[in-house]
Amino acid sequence: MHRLTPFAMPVVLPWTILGLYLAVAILAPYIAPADPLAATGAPLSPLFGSSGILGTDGFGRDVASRLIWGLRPMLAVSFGAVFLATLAGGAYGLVAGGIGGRTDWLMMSVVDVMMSIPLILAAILVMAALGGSVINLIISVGISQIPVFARLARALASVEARKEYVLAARAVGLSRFHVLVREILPNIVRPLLVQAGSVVATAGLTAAALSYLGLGVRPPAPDIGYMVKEGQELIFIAPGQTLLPGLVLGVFALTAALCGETIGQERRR
Amino acid sequence: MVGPPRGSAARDRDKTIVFALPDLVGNFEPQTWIGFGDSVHVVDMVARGLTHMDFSDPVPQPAVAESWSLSPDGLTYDFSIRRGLTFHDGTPVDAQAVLRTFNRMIDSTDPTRPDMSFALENLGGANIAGFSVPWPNTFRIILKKPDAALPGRLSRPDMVIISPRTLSEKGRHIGPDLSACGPYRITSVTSNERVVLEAFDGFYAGRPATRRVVMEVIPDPLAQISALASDQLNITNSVPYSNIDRLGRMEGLRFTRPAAFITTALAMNCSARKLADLRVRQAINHGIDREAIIADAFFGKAELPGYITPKSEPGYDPSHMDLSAFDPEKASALLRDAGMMGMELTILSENNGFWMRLGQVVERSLRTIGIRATVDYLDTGTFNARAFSRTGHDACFLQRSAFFPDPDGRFSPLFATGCTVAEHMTAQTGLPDQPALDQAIAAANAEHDPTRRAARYVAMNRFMAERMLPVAAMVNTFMPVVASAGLRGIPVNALGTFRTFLEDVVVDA
Amino acid sequence: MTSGLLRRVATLPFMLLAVASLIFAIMHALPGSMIESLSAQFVSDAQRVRLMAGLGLDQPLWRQYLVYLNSLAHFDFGISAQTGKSVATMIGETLPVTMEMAGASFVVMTVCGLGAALIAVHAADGPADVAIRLLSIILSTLPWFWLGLVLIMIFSLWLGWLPSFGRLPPSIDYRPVTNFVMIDAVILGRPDLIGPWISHLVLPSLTVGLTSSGVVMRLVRSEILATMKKEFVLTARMKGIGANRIFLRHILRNAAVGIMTVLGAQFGAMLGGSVVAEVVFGYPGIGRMLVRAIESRDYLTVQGAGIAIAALYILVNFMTDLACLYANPRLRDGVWS
Repeated sequence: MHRLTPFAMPVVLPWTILGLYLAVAILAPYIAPADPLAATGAPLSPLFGSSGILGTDGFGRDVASRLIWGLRPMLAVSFGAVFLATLAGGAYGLVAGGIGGRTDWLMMSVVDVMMSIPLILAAILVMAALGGSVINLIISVGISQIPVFARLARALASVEARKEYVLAARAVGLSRFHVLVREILPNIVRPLLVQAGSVVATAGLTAAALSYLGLGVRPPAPDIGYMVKEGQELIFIAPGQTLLPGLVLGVFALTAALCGETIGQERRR
Repeated sequence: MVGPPRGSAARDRDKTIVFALPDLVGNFEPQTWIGFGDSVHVVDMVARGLTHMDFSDPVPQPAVAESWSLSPDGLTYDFSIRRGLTFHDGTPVDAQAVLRTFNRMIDSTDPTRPDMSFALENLGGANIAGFSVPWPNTFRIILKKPDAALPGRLSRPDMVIISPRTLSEKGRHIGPDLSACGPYRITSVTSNERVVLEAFDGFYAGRPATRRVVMEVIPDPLAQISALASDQLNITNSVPYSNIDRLGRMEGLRFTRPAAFITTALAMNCSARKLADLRVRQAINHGIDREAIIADAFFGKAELPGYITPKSEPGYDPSHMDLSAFDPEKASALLRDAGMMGMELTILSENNGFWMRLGQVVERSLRTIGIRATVDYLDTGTFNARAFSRTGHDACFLQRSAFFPDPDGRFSPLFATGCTVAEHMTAQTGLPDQPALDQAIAAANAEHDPTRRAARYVAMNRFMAERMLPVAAMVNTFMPVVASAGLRGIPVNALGTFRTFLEDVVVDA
Repeated sequence: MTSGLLRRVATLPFMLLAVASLIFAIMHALPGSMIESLSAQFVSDAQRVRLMAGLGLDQPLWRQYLVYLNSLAHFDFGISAQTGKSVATMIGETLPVTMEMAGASFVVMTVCGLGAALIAVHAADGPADVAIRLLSIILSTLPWFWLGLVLIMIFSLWLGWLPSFGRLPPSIDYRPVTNFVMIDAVILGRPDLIGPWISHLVLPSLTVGLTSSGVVMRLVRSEILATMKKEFVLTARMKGIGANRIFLRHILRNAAVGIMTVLGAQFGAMLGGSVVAEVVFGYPGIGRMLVRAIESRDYLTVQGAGIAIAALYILVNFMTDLACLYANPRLRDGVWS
C-alpha cells in the first residue's frame, strides 16, 4: 500500500483534501461567513480581527468568503479544461491512430502545428478573442492541452489498431466507427485518464497565470488567480492578501498532482 | 519587511542616475509616437522644441526659440531662433533646420515624412496655413484662425526640432538614431532594455549637472520597489499607488506629491438609447462615489475633480466641484424621473494599471443608486476597438494626461467635432449643443488675454457639464514620483504627467 | 526513424506556413486593429482613413493574407506598425535574450532534475527517494510566477545578493552586436560583461528551471528504473559485470533516449513559455514583445515572432531526435516516430 504515493502516506490523504476543496466549493453559500462581494469592514483589516477570521481585502470584503467562493472558478476551470481536452484530444487521437495511413499523418501534422505554438501564447490569444469568463477560460486552457491528449490517444490507438482482435473485428466486417468506439476505445481509456489526472494541476496553474495577466474571471467575482495578482502589490503592506490565495492555489495544485499520481500507480500494479 | 538599502549596487552616484521605464520600443521618431510610457520619456530628454513648459505655471518658456511675436490679426507667429546652438551631431540649429522639421509634418511629398505622422494634427491640423523662413533666423507659422494655445502646443514632445543630418541620413526611419538639441544625447540603445544618455555640453540652458542618465526598463512593480530599496534605481513614476506611503517613509527614499494633471473620466455614448436622456447621464455622474475611488483605487493619491479642467490648469474654478459631486439621492431621483431605475449598464475598462480597482468601485457605487452596472475588463486592443466605436459600447473609461498645461489640451483633441473621442466614443456630435461648444472652443483659442481666456474655459466647463455631459469626471491623479532622497531638482509636476525633464536633477554628494 | 527525420525536414516549410496561417487567422479574428490602438491617441477621422490605407488594412482579408504570404516567401517579415522597425530586427533583438534565459534555465533544470533523479534511483524506495519524489511534485506544482516574486524578495530585497531585474546593470554600457551577451563578450573583447550577465540570469533561470525540474526528476527516475528491470540488464548482471559499468554502459545509455526526449520537450516549452517570467524579471525577451504586440494588434510582429518561436521549437525537437539517434543507433532501423 505504501507504494501508492511517494510519501509513505495513505492514499486517502490527497483525495480527502481534494474532496474537501470540492465540498467547500459546492457548499460555498452555506459555509462562507459573509457575502464575498459586499464590504463588511474597513479595508485591509488584519487576520483574526473583528472583521472576519482572515481579515478583509482592499475593498473591505471578507477574505475568507472570497477564498471560499473563489474555489468555484478555480475548480471549474481546472476540471472543465481537462475534461474538454481529454474528450476532444482523445477523440481526435483515437480517430487518427485508429484509421492510420495518410489521415493519421495529416491529422497529426495539425497537432504538430498546434504544439509548436507556445501554450501560454495560444491561451492568451484565445482569451483576448473571447473575453474573460469561466467558460472562456475552460475553452482557452482546454484548447492549449488538446495536443497532449491527441498525441497520447493516437499513440495508444495505433498500437491497438494493429492487434489481432481489431484486425479480426474488421475482417468480420464491423464498421470503422464500431471498431474505434467499441473495440479500441475501451483499451485506451485508462491511460488517458491517468494523463488527465496529471494535468489537472497544470490546467489550474495556467488559468491562474491568465488571471495574472488580467485575462481571467471578471472582478469583482472572487477568483483565486486574480486574488494572487491583486494582492501582489500589497505584499509589503498586507502580505496575506497574496500569500493566502497563493497557498490555496498551491495546495490545490499539489493535491491534484498527488491524486493524479495515485491513478497512475494503481495502473502499474 | 524591507531592510535598509544595501548599497551593493551604489556606484558612480555623483555621475549617474537611473530612471525606470515601463517598456521601451526603441523607436524615437517624434512625429509618430503612438503611446507614452516609453519613447516619449526618451524624446523629452533628448530633444526640445521651440518652446518649453515645465508644469510649474501655464506660461510657455523660450527654448530653441529665444522669443516670439504675434501679428495684430493673431494669425502669424514669428519665432526668433537662438543663435549659436548645435544639434548633438554638430550641425547648427538655425531657422532652416526648424523649417525642415516642420515641413516634414505638412508636406506629404517630403521623402523623409514617416508613414503615420500625427504631429500636424496635434499642432492644429487644418488650421495651419503654412511654415516659412521670412528672414534669416526667424521661423514663421501662419494660421487660418487665431490660436492662443500655439506656443504651448510647440512644447509637446512631437514638436521637437530634429537634426537635418538625421533626416537626410535616416529619412522616414529614425528608429533609435534621434539627434536633436535637448539636454542629453543618446549614447546607446538596447530595445526593451535600456537607453544610456550623456549630458550635452551644447544644451541651450547649459550642460546638465548629472553627466549620465540610464533609462532602464523595469516592468514589474515589485522589481522596481526592490531596485529602489537597493539603490539600483533613483527615480520612478511607475510604482503602484498602494506602496507610495510606505516607500516614502523608507530611509533614503522620498515621495513628493505632484499636481494632479491626469484626468480619469467615464465616457458615455450619447447615441446609445439608454444614455440618450441627459438625466440618465446626470444620474450616473452623481452616482459615482469619488471619495471611495480615491481611497480604494488610488490609496489617497488622487483628488476630487471639478469638471474637465484640473485644478492645476487655467480654466478651473472652485464652483466646478459641484459639477462632479457624489449625490446618491439626487442620482436615484434623476434615474426615476427618466424612468430608468434598474437599468443595466456595461462599462468597458482596460485590464491593467489602476483600472481594475477603479472599475470595482464604480460598479459598486452605481449599483447603490439603482443602475445594474457591470464593468468588462478587456485587453488594450479589444478595449480600443470597442471604445472607439459607437456601436461597440455604452460607456467606457477614459484617461487624459496633460502634454502641456493648457486647457485647450483637453478640449480641442477630445470634444471638438471631428476628433475620434467626440465622434465615436461619446458620440456627442449628435447633441444639439455641440455647435455651440465648437464655437466656444474656437472663441477661447482666439482670446489672447490670459485672464479672459481662462474665464472662457471656466464657462465652457460648466456649459459642457450642465448641458451636454458626454463624460463624467471621476478623479484627477498623477504618476507618483518616488526618488532617492539625495536627489534635488526633480521636476515633480512634469513627471507626474508623463513628461520627463531631468536636466536640473542634481545628486547631492 | 532516419527517414522520418528526412521527412520532417521536408515538411518544415509547410509546418511554418501552417503556423503563419494559424496565427494570421487568430490575430485577425481578435476584435480591433492597429487603427483603434492608434485612435487612442485621439486622431481625427480623416486621419483614420489614411492610416487604414497606409497599413493596407482597407484591403479585403484574403488579399492581406496573400500579400503577407508573398512577403514571407521573400523572407520579409515586414515592418512593425507600432515600432517602425523591421520585424526581423525586432526578433533578432529579443529572441537571443529568450534563448539565453531558456538556456540558463535548461542548465538549472538538467542539473537539478538529473542529479535528483540519480540520487533517487540509487536510494530507490528509501527515504531520500521518497523525499525527492515528493519534492518533484511540489516543484512542478509551484505557481512559478509566484516563485519568482518570492525569490526577488529573498535574494534581492532581504539579502541584497542578486539583482532583480534586467539583463545587465545600468552601470555597464553595452552595444549589442549579436544580442547574445556571451558571444558579444568574446567579439567585443569585454570579459567584464560576463559576471554581471550571469548574476542577472540567476533568479529568472532558477524560477523557470526549478519548476521545470520537477517533471524531469520524476520522468527520468521512472525511465531509469524501468530500464533496470529490462532483460539485458539482468543478463549483464548475471554475466558478473560490475554495477557501475552496468549503470553507465547499459542502463544510462538505454535510458538516454527517454531522458533526452523529456529534456528536449521541456526546453521547447521554455522558449515560448516564459512570458510571465520575462515580465516579472524585466527580461527583454520575445515573450514580452509578443504580449505588447498582441495588445496593440501589431499583426506583423505577432506573426513574425510566432513563426520564429515555432521554427525554433521545431528545430529543438529535430535536434532532440538527432541526439536520440546518436545515443541509440538501433532506433535508426525503427519506424517513423
